[in-house]
Amino acid sequence: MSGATGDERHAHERPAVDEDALGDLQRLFASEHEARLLRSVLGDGPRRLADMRVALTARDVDALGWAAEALRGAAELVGARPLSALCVRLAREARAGNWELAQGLVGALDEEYASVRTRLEAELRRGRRAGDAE
Amino acid sequence: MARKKILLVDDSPTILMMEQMILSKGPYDLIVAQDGEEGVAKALAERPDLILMDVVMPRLDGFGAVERLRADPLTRDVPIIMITTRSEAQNVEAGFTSGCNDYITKPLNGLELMTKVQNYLGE
Repeated sequence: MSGATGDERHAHERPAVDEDALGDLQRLFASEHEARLLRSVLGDGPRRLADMRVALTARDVDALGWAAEALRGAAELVGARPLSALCVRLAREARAGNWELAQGLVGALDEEYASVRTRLEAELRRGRRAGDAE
Repeated sequence: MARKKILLVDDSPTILMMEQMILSKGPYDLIVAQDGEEGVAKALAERPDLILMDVVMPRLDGFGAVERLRADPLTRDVPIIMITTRSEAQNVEAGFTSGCNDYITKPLNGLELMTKVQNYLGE
């Protein structure tokens, strides 16, 4: 059981990434800058997930909070709200000392991050195609 | 006229990158730091005109960093804008208590960020 609830959805319930948020990024930045941001999210995400696993094993509330907050900020930037909500929940459960519940959320977090990664990689491919067409 | 110097403090490379992308549209020299300790050190060394400070960071969080900067005569009067997460009202209150001048919520809005920066830099 993942323990995920509410905003912490599974892929079939809500989109991993809010398309409006991605659209805002496209409008705000040139495609080259948007691509750099997306690549940064994709590059930093696995490191934060790994940091969270280490912190969970060590039951280190502070380290878990830092990693969760950093991933949350990047997730919100690209409109990955379910991923953001999972980061919040995981940090909250750890702060409350509910380590088993927090550990149970890791699977949902991995699954959610994979959905976000798939969408962002598709966005990067779309951007490259658009660049090639210009 | 001398270019204004802005110190960006955040442990997320993605957020730092976004702040740099937004602010590089203005006539600013940007300095970055990846936690509160480094932020305090760079503020004292570089004497920025404005600081954007994240809250949750390793080593020293944003509140602690602001308190230290306010305690030092060199940085006591530098405007500090706290970058906090939407819906966490307690962070806003704690930020003002620690001595920050203003706050902006994540996810960052480019126009809001640029407008606040310009206001604090007297532009």
